[in-house]
Amino acid sequence: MQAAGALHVKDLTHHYGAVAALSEVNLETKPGEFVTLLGPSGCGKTTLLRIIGGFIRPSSGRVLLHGEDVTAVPPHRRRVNTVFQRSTLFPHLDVFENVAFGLRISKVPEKEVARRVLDALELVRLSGFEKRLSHELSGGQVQRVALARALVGKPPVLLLDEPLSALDLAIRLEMEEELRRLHREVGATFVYVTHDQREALALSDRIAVFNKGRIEQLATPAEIYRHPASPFTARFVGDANVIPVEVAAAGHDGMVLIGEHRVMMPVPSGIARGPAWLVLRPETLRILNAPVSTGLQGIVRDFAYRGSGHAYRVAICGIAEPIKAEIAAEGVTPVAVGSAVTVTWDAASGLVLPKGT
Amino acid sequence: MDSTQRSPVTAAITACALFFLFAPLAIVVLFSFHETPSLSFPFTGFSLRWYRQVFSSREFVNAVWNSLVVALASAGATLVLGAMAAYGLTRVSSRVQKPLAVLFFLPITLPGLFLGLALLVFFAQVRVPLSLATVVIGHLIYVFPYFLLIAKAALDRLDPALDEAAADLGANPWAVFWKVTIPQLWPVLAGATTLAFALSFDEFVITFFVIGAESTLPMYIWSGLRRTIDPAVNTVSSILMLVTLALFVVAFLLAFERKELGQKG
Amino acid sequence: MTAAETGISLPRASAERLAPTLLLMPLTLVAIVFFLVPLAVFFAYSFLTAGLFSVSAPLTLAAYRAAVASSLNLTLALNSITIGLMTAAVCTAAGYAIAYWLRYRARRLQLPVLFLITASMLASYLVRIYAWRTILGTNGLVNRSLMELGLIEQPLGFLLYNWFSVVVALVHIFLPYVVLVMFAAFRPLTPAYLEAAQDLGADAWTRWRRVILPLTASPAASTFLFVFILSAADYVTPQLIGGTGGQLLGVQIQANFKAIGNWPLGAATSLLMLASFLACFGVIQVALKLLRLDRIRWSS
Repeated sequence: MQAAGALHVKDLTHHYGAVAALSEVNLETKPGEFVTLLGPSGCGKTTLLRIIGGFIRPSSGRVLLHGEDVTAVPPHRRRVNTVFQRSTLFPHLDVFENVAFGLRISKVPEKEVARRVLDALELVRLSGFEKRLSHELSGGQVQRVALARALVGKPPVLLLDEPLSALDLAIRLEMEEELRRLHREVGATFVYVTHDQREALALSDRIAVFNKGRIEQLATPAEIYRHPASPFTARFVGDANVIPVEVAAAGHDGMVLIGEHRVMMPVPSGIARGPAWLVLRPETLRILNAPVSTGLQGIVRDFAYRGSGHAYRVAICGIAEPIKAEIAAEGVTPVAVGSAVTVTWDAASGLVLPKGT
Repeated sequence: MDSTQRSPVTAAITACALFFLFAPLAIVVLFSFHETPSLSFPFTGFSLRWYRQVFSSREFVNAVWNSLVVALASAGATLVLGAMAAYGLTRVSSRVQKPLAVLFFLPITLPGLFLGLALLVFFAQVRVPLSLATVVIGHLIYVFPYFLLIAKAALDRLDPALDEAAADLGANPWAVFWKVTIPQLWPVLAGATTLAFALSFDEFVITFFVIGAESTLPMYIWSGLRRTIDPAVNTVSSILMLVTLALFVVAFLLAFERKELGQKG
Repeated sequence: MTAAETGISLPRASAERLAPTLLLMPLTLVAIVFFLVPLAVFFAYSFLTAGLFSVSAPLTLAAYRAAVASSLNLTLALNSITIGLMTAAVCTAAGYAIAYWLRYRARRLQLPVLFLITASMLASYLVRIYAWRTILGTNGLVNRSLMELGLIEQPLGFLLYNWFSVVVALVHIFLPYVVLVMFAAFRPLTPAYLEAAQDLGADAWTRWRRVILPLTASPAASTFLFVFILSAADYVTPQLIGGTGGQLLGVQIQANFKAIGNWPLGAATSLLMLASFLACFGVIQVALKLLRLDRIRWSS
């Protein structure tokens, strides 16, 4: 286990010309944490990572490492290492020399270099690959060597810029497992950038969801999944129905107008009467043949067999977008397209969000 | 690399290099318009007297004419021989292709001095008198590797699937060549030929050895340079630069700008 | 798959398989008759007895002995090596700097500057030499400007008609070509590699030493050698602006053929020159191979 870094990003703003890539971003990591910066392309997550790495000087704001202000410190003097998206293994050096690169610059004595490089290669399970050249390695092996190279210097903070996005799906899943293992064994703070929400959910201790240069929500994966703070987060992380509704009354016995239906469901007391959003995850919905007072009447428009479940699209009167529902397939006969059904859910599964988010 | 980083040293070197490259050429052009024969500053005034003088010189007109004829012949021969050879190179087995490729690109590696001397000696040995014809031969040897480089690269980028489709529809190889290959290739070939023309028009190093009593434009400049002060040299040089520039622009536009159908991107 | 990858002629009939070979014949013939044969004759001349602007049958090594023994040849050879090395060194160093700026810093200026540099290649060889003769002379631009600015009292004589002007003119001739080759050498070196090096602790100088130079060593060495060879064999520049201190071996070789008439001596000197070029090429290739820098396999 090595010393883990406490990373603190304060009021970070960065402009590209007139465009604000990041606006007043604040982020504080716990030492040894796996934090993911998640968001669609152009949301600012890569810009933030590169600022932390030192490759960009932010327009304003500060980056602190262990309490020390490193905003103006160039990358080669920062105790932060990066794993890049595409291969940056030096083609003229073999695997050993690639991993040893940073150590040689720090003038580490030869014996220690050999020991640490071999340890690092063992850590990423590539012992025996020392003499290979980068073009002789598969995609997954390349990224493993990159990880070894970045970790051999024992940095307190490791930055990963979508390291798996250029890999095939099968390799990606394998590498995810590797990353979790590495994080457990190494113990450094990992800051991970991805647009793949599934990956973020699988890897992270906490996720920062980015939208247009701001953090929409910073929380554990479970928290983000079950209680997304905004319709954007709800749609981006996992599949969701985000339905425009009218809140008639708030409170435990609240009343919500969904399309042409009046449904009794709990509404958080902070929410004012008027337009709001209702977030329903497809896997929390149930489809019934008989009408129920707390349900929505509709017609099945589409059915897809998904192996582990049945995916339906149900058109509800008064709601523009058909609702997505996912029902477990075990022992259940699929409902025919065109049937009239009722869609219901447990009270706890429905989430009402204020309109302004 | 974050390109907002600055490298003042390399930027300065680049700026100096650009100045270094163009200042001398600009001065030549400037002084071709000088109203006095002086070749040093201060610059007293503009005049076309040297242009009038040069264009009325019979020697000059002869030299230009000869250069044109030689360049036309060299470029034409290069086009025919080079296009056929490029096509052949892409279609032949690699056992034949490799040594031939070495042979064809060897002239580029040899300084012009030796090419010229070897031809001089050869023509003496077989008792062929030196003339514009021997100059054409010398230019051909000098120029065809450049043509081949461009033509072969373009041919390599062609998609053979089009050839196969045409053959499938009943076209014999001759028809495939004319109806499928040529339409895709002609801009590049035209550009490469224009380049060949420009290279030949400008050639001196080899011409010096294999030319007879006639003169080409570069030879005319050379004899002007042997006399120490002749403002007309500025004029002739400027004319030569302008012609070459025009030719290269045409060659560039033809060979590299047009992305034809069937070229793999 | 492109035609180049399949490499085999497509049609099956034997007449059609003959066609590519037939197409290659004319140029092959021309190359053999007007390139290989003349070179062979030239090579043979170095072993023949010298007459006046002619050669005669008895085979002899007299030409080689004369070529090697001549102190004039030795001086010129040393001159050629020095001037060749200087030209190549200046071109390569400047080429590196300019290619680096173009690749990583130029942004919107990249295409215009590349175009300008390529355009400057179009200026005629003779014109360039002439241009420098007017600029570097005692009444030329440089001296006149320095005197106008009051920096010097008398014109500087050393600028023209010696090794300095020869190097300047040769650099002017070869620099654009070197820049283009070096720029091509930099293409596969994406900024990410340099960022990775920086990330691992390399400052600017270390990045040059451990990443940029090794990865561009092969094309840089080839270009260096190419400029060296062409500079050392140049016979026009020295005659026009070389004076006494800037004469090159090529001038002597050329004189042997055109003025003096001792063809075997000229041929022998040429062959010796070519042999040494080949030796240099061989040494560099071996060195690159030993350092494993001769062929870089970029993975992506």
